[in-house]
Amino acid sequence: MFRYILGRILALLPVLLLISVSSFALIHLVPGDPAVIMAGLQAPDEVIRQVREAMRLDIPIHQQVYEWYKALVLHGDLGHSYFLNARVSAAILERMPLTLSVAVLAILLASILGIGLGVLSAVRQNSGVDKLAMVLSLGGLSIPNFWLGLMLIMYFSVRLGLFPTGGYVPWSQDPLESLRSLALPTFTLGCTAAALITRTSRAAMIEVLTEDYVRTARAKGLRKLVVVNKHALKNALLPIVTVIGNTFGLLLGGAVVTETVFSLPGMGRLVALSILRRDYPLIQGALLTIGVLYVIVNLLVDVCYCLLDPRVKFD
Amino acid sequence: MATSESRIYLARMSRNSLCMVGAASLLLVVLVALLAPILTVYDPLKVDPRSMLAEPSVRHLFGTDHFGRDLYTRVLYGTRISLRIGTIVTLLTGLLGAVIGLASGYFRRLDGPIMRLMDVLMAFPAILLAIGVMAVLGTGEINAIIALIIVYTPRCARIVRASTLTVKTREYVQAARVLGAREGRIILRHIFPNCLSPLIVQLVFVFAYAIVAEAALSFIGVGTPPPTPSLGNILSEGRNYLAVAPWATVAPGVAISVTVLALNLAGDGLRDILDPRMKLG
Repeated sequence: MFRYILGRILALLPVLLLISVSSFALIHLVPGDPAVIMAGLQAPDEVIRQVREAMRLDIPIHQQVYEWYKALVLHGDLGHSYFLNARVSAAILERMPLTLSVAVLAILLASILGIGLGVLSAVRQNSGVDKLAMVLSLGGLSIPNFWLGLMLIMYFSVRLGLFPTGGYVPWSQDPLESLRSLALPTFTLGCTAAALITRTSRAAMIEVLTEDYVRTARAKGLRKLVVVNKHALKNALLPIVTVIGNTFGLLLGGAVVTETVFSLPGMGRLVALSILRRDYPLIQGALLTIGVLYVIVNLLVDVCYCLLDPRVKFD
Repeated sequence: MATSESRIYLARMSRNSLCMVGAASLLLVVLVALLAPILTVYDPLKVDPRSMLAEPSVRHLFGTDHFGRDLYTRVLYGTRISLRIGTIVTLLTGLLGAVIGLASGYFRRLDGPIMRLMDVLMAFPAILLAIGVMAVLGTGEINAIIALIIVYTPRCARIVRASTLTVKTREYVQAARVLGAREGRIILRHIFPNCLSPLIVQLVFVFAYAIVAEAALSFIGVGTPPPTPSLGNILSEGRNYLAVAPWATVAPGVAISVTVLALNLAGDGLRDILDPRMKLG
């Protein structure tokens, strides 16, 4: 098991390297002079020169690569944001907890809802519950989450006044208010994910339920609940875990839009704003961070495979 | 494709009611978008200060926005733009995905480098990658199209590559090679047609993703710039008037959802018809 995980980590190194190279290269792919674009087309030469020096764009490229990696590897330093007048790493660390907590809450909600509904509709295939679950999941896939968020604000916040219309209260300040401020964003983000997980769970369960060992277990008189939970679900978990892992990446992306809808000061909004401001160091840092997070989640999924199915590590 | 084969597909399609519903709704949406200039008397850009934020009424079916522009008209034209962007993205993604996938699957030496590049592109969540590309290229409709093509091409390329790898070992491909067919002919006449079904199914979903993603990009302000109506930027403008003019956010959202739902239904149905093994349940 240890060797399998080590192997997976080693396999990720080239991907991590490529992610960091593409983050670094981002600014050099910008057509034209990034310093001019950042400072503004009408900016005086003096300001442009200052930006160029601050961004270290005036030194030869191999030196830039060297300095960038040196700062990143030795100090975890991602550079300086010209617009926030702060370290990029500090800005990201400040906003990361919010984005991650919404994403984790959303994936938890989606997994519970999705696996529950999926298993239920697989066990009662073609029943009313099954049809309802399929309609709900098709809706969840088709309704864009930013619009769903707006509709939820309109109904639950503006009309009923149950939740705040936006903004975030930190947990340390007031736990109850904090949960209230996270409720709608979590639900919004969780819906699409729940739809995907429901569909996958249903398909996986239907396949497993026709297997011989399930029929044997039923034939020897085990209760249906035991068979579904112990024999079937355990064997259907592999594709379900895969889709949960993939969905987590979707949520990190979805956060950009959802945080705009709910005016949450998280990573997503930071990325969106820094693109509008053309704050390249921040964009580079944020993409790198999210890319790495995504890779880590994929690694966790691989580890889960190994725990769920001992055969995996021998392949 | 032989006529009898297409007849089998058509017969299967007519028996798949969800697919028919999806295809019919899609046709309706396309017709509405194409006929937009006939279906409305207003100009989507015409500002009317006398009727700002007017409620839905007979004169303004979906109400008006904060500039007094008719929302029904703007949603019609917005749908037109969404479908146009979706179509361009889908066609070019299909073309690029097919070329890259075939090359990667057929020529073993190209496979490694191409697939590593695709892996990196897929290491970023889709919408974030699109945003990253927009950061490089700058905002605007054409750049959004380029960004979405870059995002979805790897997904199509992977699927075509996978089919190419299985198809190229089949006897009829070996037979063609033995008969002295050139590689271009083998790829185009013998391999490509057999990779088409999964690609077409995937492209229907790419169409749906592209519409949602373009709306999302426009919503956060980096896609189609105002005043051109796109479903995303109508939503983004309406958002500021959520409490006083809820209709400004309802209509464009319903338009996106209906379009995407139609595509999802059609895609699910097509998958069942073209590739019964992949059927969900």
